[in-house]
Amino acid sequence: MKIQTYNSQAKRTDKIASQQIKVQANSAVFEQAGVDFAAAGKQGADILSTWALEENKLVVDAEAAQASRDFKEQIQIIATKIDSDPALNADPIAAATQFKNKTRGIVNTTTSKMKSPAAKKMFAASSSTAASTLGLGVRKAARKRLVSTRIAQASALGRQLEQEIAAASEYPNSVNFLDLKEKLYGDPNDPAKPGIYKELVKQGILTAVQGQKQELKSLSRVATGIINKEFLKASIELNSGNPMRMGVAVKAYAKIAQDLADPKKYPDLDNLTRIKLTGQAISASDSAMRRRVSDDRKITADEKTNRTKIHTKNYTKTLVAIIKSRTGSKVTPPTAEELVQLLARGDINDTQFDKLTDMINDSQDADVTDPQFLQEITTALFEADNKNDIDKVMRSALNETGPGKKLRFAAFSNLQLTARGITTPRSRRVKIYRKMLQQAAKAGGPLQKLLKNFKGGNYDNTVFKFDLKLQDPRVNPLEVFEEAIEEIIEKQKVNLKQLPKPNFSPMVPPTVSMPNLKKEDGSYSGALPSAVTSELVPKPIEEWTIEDVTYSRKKARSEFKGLLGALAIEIFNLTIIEKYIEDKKPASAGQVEKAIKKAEALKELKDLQSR
Amino acid sequence: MSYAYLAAGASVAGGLMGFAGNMKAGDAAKKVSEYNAAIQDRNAAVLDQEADRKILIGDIEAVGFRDDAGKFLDNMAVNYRNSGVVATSDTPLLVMLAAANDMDEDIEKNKYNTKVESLALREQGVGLRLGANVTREEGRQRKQAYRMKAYSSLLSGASGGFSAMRQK
Repeated sequence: MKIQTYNSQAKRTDKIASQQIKVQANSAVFEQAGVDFAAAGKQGADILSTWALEENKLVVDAEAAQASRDFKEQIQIIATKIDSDPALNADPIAAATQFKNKTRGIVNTTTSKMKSPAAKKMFAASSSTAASTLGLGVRKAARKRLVSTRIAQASALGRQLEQEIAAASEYPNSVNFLDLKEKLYGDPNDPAKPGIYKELVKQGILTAVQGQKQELKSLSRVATGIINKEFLKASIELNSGNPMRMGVAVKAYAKIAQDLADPKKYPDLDNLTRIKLTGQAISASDSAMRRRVSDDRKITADEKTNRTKIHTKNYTKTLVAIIKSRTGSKVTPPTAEELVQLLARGDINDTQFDKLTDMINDSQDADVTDPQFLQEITTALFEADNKNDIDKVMRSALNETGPGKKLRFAAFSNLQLTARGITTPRSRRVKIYRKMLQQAAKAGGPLQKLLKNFKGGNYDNTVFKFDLKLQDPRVNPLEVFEEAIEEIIEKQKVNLKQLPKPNFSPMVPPTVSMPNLKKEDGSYSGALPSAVTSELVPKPIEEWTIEDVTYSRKKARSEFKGLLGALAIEIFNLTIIEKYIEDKKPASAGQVEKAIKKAEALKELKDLQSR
Repeated sequence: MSYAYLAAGASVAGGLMGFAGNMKAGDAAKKVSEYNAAIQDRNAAVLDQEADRKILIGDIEAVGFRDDAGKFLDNMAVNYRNSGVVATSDTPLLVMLAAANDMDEDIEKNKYNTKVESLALREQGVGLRLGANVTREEGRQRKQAYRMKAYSSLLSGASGGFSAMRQK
């Protein structure tokens, strides 16, 4: 028998009730509150502190700035006072000390009134800077004034010595001159005598270069002073009122210009002053020359007027005497000799002489001088080379003087007058002009080419009058030469094709042909004619006016001074041109208008070109 | 009152707030680390308890196994005898001894396994305790760091205050 048994099936668990706990507290979260509290405190403090500090800075800055401004104003006043105080303003050390003491007092006063320590510090810094800057300025200004005063004193003394040296320059070896030079420029062999400018260098007032420059300038001023003295001399001559002295002035100015052009003359003169003075000398020379010509012309014009008055008076007086003598009055009529003398003295003119001579001849049947013989004698006189030849001619003239002979006594007297002046410079000029007059007028001479239908000839009468007029020493031979030419060509016509070319022409823009250049709107088509851009050219002789002749004549007198032949030829040519202009018909209104338009067009073209 | 005083006051107040805030954060850090360490200690204790339980249960099961084995051998002997075989000699005895020998071996194996499992749990507990120690140390260090920050804030506020006062 099998008996059932029970075996236990259940088992005890090996687990326990307790479990692992996974929870962990997050430390950061618990720390955050404290961290945030600290950050809030920091941020709040930062904001508040930043704002407060900015406000504080404004207050402090304002206080410091105000104090600084006040301080600067006050020290500026002090600086100005020192600058205007003669006891301090030329003494750099005293000025600087005074300024320093005064500013220190102001700094202390201002600082004591300030509340903010920070503002005080700022003010201390700014006031120190301002005081040192201005103090330096005060010191510099005083030093500058000291230096300026010293330089001014030295310069004044230097200028005085320069003037004295210039005044004494005529005697460069004189003790006075050498002494003055030593005072100004020193003695190169004696260091104890450095001269004014080197002394300034020694004292440190001028640098070596400045001293050297000042000395060079001084030397140049001395040279200028010497030249100015020459200018003064020339000016005295020019303003002497004596026409003869004016020529001296012109020469003196010309010599100054010539000397200045030579670098060996006045070697101390600086280039700029040399150029300036040369310009002045040339200008003065030119001005004196023009004044002389002008005075000459004025004198000539005045003389003409006076001569006309005298002529009329004497002619009337003589005429009255002749007429009265004819009517049975006791008045003695003038002799032919007296009439010749009247003509020779310039008391009557040629026409009056002819008329009066005719009247006397009519009444007294007087002998007349043989013009042919007189011409021969006069020519022989002008051709004589020495006194013996002149005496010989005069003896032959005397042999033919008297009743029934070829010369009247009056004519002989005139020949004597001529003979007396035959060796003077004036007479030489007369001789040349007389020769030229004869050459010009003779057949085949220049006038035959220049004048239409002119046959030429001796023109003895004209030459005779030429001789007579020149017996008056006051008469300018060139003027008489010009009058003689005018007389010859008076009734002639000038040949345009043969017009002589003058040496001195007014300059004008070149004439150009401008067909269809200008458009209707005023603009120009194509390229400008090259001629418009070129230099001025001499004015064509066909377009000359009387003014142009006058200009050329003045220029010739000025440029050909001393060149008798060249001047005479130029005056001769100009007289021909003048005659041609006088004979020309006046331009028609149309021609004038055309000329104006042409001139305007040229001007526009030039303007256009210059843009 | 000057703005400089205000700025100085604000700076000092900011420093004080920074000090207090950082001190508080340090305290909080320490407390949290203590708390977290306590939880880890507790978990370690649970593991110890579980290890002990493993040994106890193993012992109990060994006793039960012994009972079961005795019963099994008795049944074998009964069955031999019922079959007319003398169970206490010769082959039946040898078979029964072999069975008893295997049963003892199983008991020893189970005992060994239980010990191993118990030791593993104890090792886990040791690890948790070490972690708790580390957590506590971290809390102390954090508190120290916050304390330093607090002093720094205090100094910074004082310095700002002095600086502001210099600008008055």
